[in-house]
Amino acid sequence: MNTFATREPTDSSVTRIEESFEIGLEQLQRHAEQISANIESVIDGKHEVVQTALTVLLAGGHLLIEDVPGVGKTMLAKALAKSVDCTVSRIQFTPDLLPSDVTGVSVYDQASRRFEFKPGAVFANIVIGDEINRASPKTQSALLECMEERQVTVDGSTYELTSPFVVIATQNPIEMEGTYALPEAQRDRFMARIAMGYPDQESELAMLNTRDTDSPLVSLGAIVTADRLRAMMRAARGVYAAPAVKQYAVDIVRATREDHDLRLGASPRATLQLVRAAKARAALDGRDFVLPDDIASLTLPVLGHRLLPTNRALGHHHESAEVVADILERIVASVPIPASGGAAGG
Amino acid sequence: MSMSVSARTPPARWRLAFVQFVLVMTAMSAMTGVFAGVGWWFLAAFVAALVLFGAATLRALRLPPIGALGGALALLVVALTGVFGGGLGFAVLIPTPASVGRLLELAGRVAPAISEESIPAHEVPELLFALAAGTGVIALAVDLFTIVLGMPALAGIPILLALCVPVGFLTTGANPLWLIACTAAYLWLLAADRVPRMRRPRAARAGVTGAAVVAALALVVGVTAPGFTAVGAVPLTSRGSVLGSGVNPLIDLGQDLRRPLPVPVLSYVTSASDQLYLTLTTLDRFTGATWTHTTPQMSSLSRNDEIGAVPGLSGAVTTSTVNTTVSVDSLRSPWLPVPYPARAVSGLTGSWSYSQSDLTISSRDSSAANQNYSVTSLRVHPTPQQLQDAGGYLPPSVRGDLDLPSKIPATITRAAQKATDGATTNYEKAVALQNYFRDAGFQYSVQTPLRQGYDGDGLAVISTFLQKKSGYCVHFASAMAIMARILGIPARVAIGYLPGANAGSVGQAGYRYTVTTNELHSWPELYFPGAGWLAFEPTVGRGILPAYTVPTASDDSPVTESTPSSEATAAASPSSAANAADASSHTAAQTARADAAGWVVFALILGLALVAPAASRRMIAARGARRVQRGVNPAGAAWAEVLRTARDLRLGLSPGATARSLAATLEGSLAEPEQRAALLRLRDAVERERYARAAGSTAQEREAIAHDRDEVTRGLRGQVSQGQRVLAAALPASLLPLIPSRPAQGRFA
Repeated sequence: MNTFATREPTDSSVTRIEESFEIGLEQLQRHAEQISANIESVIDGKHEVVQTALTVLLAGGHLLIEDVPGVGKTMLAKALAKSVDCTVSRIQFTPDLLPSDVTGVSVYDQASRRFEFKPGAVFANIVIGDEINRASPKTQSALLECMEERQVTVDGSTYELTSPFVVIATQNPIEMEGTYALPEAQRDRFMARIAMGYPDQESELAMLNTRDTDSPLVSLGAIVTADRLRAMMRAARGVYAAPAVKQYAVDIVRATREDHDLRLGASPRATLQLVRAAKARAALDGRDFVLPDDIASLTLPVLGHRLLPTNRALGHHHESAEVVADILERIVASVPIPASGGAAGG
Repeated sequence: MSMSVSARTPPARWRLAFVQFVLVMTAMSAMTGVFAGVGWWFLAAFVAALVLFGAATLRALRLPPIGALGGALALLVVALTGVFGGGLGFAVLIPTPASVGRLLELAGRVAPAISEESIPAHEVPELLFALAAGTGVIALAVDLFTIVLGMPALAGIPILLALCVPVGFLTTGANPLWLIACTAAYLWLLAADRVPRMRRPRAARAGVTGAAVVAALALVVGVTAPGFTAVGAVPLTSRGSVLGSGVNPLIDLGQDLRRPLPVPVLSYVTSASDQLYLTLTTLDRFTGATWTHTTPQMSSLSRNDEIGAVPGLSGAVTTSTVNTTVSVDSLRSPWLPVPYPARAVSGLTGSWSYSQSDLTISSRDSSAANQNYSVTSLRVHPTPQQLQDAGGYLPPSVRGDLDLPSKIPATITRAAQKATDGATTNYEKAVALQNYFRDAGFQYSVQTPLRQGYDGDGLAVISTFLQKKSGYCVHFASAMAIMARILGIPARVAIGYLPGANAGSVGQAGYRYTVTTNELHSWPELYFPGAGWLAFEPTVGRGILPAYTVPTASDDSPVTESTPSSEATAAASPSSAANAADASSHTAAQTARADAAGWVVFALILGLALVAPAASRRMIAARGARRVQRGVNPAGAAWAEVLRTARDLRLGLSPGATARSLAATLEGSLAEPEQRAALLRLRDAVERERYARAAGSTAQEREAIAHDRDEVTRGLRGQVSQGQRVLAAALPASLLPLIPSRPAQGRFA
């Protein structure tokens, strides 16, 4: 079974001692910066992508990294996973991967004369799903059910997944060969989709000099424990979103539903995740309150993969992602920021 | 920024403008009856609609309320220039010194025009201008109170002022139906204003409100200040204000007589060796309070210069024909000064008609000003014997001239009987009355009645006058007319001019006389069957005693026409010639002064217009500074000031952008690290104020905010050239509304 591999926490004792504790935003920010620096030591010139990935991690959402092969999707996923000292599993999705490979299976134990549950790859804090759109729809949906419900049901028994539970999936653009397009309903489960994009000339040259010989991932160490990550997530959730900011998020999401260039707008779940992600971004910035800027900057990653442009808007473009980005930019520009309570002249 | 300014929903905005329009127009409609035509109503409706809907349209274009009001004022000025500027404006509509001067001249003539016109008034330019400007100002005031100040109840003040006009001028008062309609419209306005709207906090409005009030006061003071009026009023004094029947024409006459500086009114050349009284009009109805007109039977002079029969004149009475050429200088009057009884008039421009009862000549649409015309009139020379024998028969048209109020003070009746004691015929009584006034210790004074509070021509005034024995022509004429009626002699009061000063011979044509405002006069005319209406002169020290009132002198030589002594005439001529020269140079000086006034006002307006943007901007900045001090969204206020400064300096900020992206744009404009740090601190403060959990600000924080604001604005100013700074101060772009456009790129991080 070489399709997935699981790594246990290196220092399990630490995990147990620090059962539950609170951390402040400054500490959160410091940790986040360390993680960010850690990841960026292996991926050059992708600061914004890394920040968005961290945002999703802090918000407790699942991340979809979509881009052409070879730009470092898996590298990002692995680096992120390695930065946290927790259980990590990696599933390489192939067309012949079975649902039970993901969720686990009950096997009959001759010795104890009963069925025993062998947990699948999803039983980990961070699950890296590589090339998720190469698996059959059946297997895809097995994973995606776990993502939403954070539990696995096999043969009538339900098994809770540990917290944090974060799926970082990579996929090739759906137009590539040998792919099964992820249905809209399942794309909706991912909090955000990010595209890596090609590195700029400078970064690509720097990469040649540093990564020519050995894999940089080997030397990458963990920065925080799972418990600390949980504390960071709690702190992020405590960030304040003013009514005006929430209204702004709702206005933007509603605008996607009414836009004439969009066949499918964003769901209420998207609204929820937009605000949650914005809180995490504010926390990363060391702020205990959300800005409309946070909402605006997260609109594309959080909403982009949920929207379907009309054929008319698509026109001759083959990249629907680009079309959606343009539409979203137009929407964000047109939605006014609601006046905050009492603040005149804004 | 522009987002929070009165976001009245569009239908509510238009509805409110419509209600305001209805309110103003019901108030203006109450003036029905003040004017003779209907054109005035459409002019008022046009002006009110222009101001109110203009303001609403400007607000729809996202101009702030006070800015829209200023725009509406500009529209009003443009409309007045276009309609009344006589084409002197640049491209007809844009005010120029010449057009401003023209409007001021027109404004200066409003007051005399009001007093000259009877009710219903002709639609002369002066009155239409007053109406248009008044309607505009009332509409602006209504808009100011309703929308800018958010106090629609106060809109009742300008409306009440508008209603004062019909109430004051119409003898019957304003039509109650219009008053009811006006009240209903007012209530409608109060109700309409209750529509939900986002109101700006009062504090935010206060500064702008102050600016508006100052501007309005400046306007009002500018138009009504004494100096201003004096300048504007100089030319009008030459137009002796005659007869506003709305209030009390005879009192106006007194005001004219009290004028310190006589102004030439007209001159005439007459073939008569004797001087002539020139009659403007007669007042034949005595109400007890005043003398007024009955509606005369008018006949047009347009076809024929001939004037109809002289009432009551029979062939038995000797008459002589007199030709007079009158050249009116600047008498703005619908009545033409002509000798009585006129027989024919030629050379008039405009349409004129004569009254069949008193043969006075008037026009509904022309003025006597600058008319040159020839009048043929009669001199009537009844002998005392003819008058003694005049029969008692009165034609129906004259019987009304005996009417008196039912209650006459006993003092008047007694005085009439005492004065005519012993007289048997009407003629004897009339002469006795005239003698009574001229001999019984009466004094001529234009000041005494005013000082002692009995100025006028009503019964009570005349009663007092008979006791005090001091007054001027109005009192003498009115008193004698009333007493004649008491004694059964038909009487009326004539208004016109004394003969004036002899300005020398003009050869064959006769003598030239010049008449000034000092010659304005009134005298009684009494009716004698066979002789018709005859003038008497009861006023002590004024005028000429008619020959027929001096029985002994005119007994045998009725046609002697040498009553005034040639000495007196000769004595008068040099001084009157000097007066004329004086007057002409005076007129030139007045014109120059009016022109200068036009320039001064134009310069003032121009100066105000130049200074206004900078002053408004300073007030806005001061208002923002106060908000920072008082802790009313201090960071927001400071931030807004920074953005306004940046906009003034044309730093190109995208509207609708967040504080964060604006700060990112501005950061590049700041040179010093400390300034950049201040900008970021300010940005963080404004973000915290807007979006973090509510927390008050400490005085220390507010001080820091104010410091950072000053640091940043100083930094921004320091980055541009001196010229740009001057431009920013003189024409602050931040006063303009922000036009929303696509925000800056790069919002997707």
